[in-house]
Amino acid sequence: MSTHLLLVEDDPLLRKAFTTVFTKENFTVTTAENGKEALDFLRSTQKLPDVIILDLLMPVMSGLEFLQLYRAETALQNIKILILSNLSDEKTIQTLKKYKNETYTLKSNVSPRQLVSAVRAIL
Amino acid sequence: MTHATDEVSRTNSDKTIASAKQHSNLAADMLFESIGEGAIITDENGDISKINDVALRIMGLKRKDVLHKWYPSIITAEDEMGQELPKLERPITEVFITGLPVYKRIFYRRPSGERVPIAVTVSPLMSEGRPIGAIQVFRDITDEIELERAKDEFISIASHQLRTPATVVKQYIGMVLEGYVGDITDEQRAMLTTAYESNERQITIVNDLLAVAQAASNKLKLNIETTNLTALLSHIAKNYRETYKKKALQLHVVLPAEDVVVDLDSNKIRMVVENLLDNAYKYSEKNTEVTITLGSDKTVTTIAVGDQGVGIEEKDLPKLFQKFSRIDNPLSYEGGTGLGLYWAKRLIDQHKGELQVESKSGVGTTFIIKLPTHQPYKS
Repeated sequence: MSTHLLLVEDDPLLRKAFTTVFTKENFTVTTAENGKEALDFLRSTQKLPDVIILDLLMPVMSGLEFLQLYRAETALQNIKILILSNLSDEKTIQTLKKYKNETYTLKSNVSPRQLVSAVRAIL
Repeated sequence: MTHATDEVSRTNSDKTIASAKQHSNLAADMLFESIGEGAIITDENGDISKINDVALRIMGLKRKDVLHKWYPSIITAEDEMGQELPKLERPITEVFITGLPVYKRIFYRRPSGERVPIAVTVSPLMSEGRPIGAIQVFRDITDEIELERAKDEFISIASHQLRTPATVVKQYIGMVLEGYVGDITDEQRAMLTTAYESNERQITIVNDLLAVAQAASNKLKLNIETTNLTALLSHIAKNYRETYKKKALQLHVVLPAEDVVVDLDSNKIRMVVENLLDNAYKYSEKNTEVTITLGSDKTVTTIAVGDQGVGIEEKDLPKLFQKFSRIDNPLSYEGGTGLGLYWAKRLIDQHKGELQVESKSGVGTTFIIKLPTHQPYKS
């Protein structure tokens, strides 16, 4: 059975790139354009994903807002999250430390293959 | 007669001294009132003996309510987080305890409830080696704080915006180079690799500029936490092995038998080690080795990153940690901003540690990070 990935990313070019890569790596990929879409999906789906790739700076609902709401829902606690963002300021990093189960990766620092390894590493 | 003349001239000179003194008192008073910053003078008990209008305005107080009162009792001082400063940690109290001038950024809570950020300098007034009072000069820094906040936000947004298009380039070329969309010819691979590497340089430049801008904005606060350095270094090395393969570089990690657990800012130390590993990669020839060595005793913890690369000439070593310093060597076309090591050194300095370098041209370079095993302060 393939691993189910929820990709939360507002940039259409990156969404397309990551979908291509993870599909080729035999993942099942569901996409969401912002935190709200992701949360709506998680609340309505029959089958929860195994892992979430979460961007931070997104319209409608940011990654941080998503994390706050998401963490309040016990049903979702077992899903692994890889935060993938180009934000690297001190404030963001410190805020993320509150969410101990998440791994933070700087988006501009990983190649497609490295990203796949990073996701596999937290599964 | 002579006697009488003497009397007269003495009286005259007394008068001159008295008038000069009066004049200088007047000048001091005028200076005190017109310097444009808040100014307060206290006696040796810390009771206010003199206060100017600017001070009263900043604090939102009236003169009659503060004169001859104990200074820490007239207004609440708070730290950045809004915690009230204990009376013993108020700048004025510190000066009396240490006898040394104090410079601090604190917040005053006005009687109206409003919070004002201020920069304060307090100096002891000394007479015959003992404090007979203190003078405090302070100003409202609301505008400065706002400017800093705007600058930080700009840096954060600008770096994000610069990284985003570079990330798209990296992912799309990366997909082709990593074989996600079919085979390519060697010639195509060579060209795309050039484009990929150039894009990588741009990303590095953005990262370096951002790091230095943050370091320069006095915001370089450490978040010291107890960290398993053995695990941290193993993790970093694991992430780098993939990249290092591209140049057939072997990355070794030499660790002590027992885990090294120390207090440090793990995020900052990780950035420094990564910077050193990036440099080792850039300045190494193919098929050589890079070694990370960790050592620790009761006082000093050392992380050494050694390569067998092109090395640095002795005459260039002193320039190495300077801002924008670039050193000519056979691989210096590899590019960079000349900011990485400058900033790495600053981060290590902040940890009360040292960043040293040993190098021999043509043989290799070793950077050594020395950190106190126990941080003198913890956040």
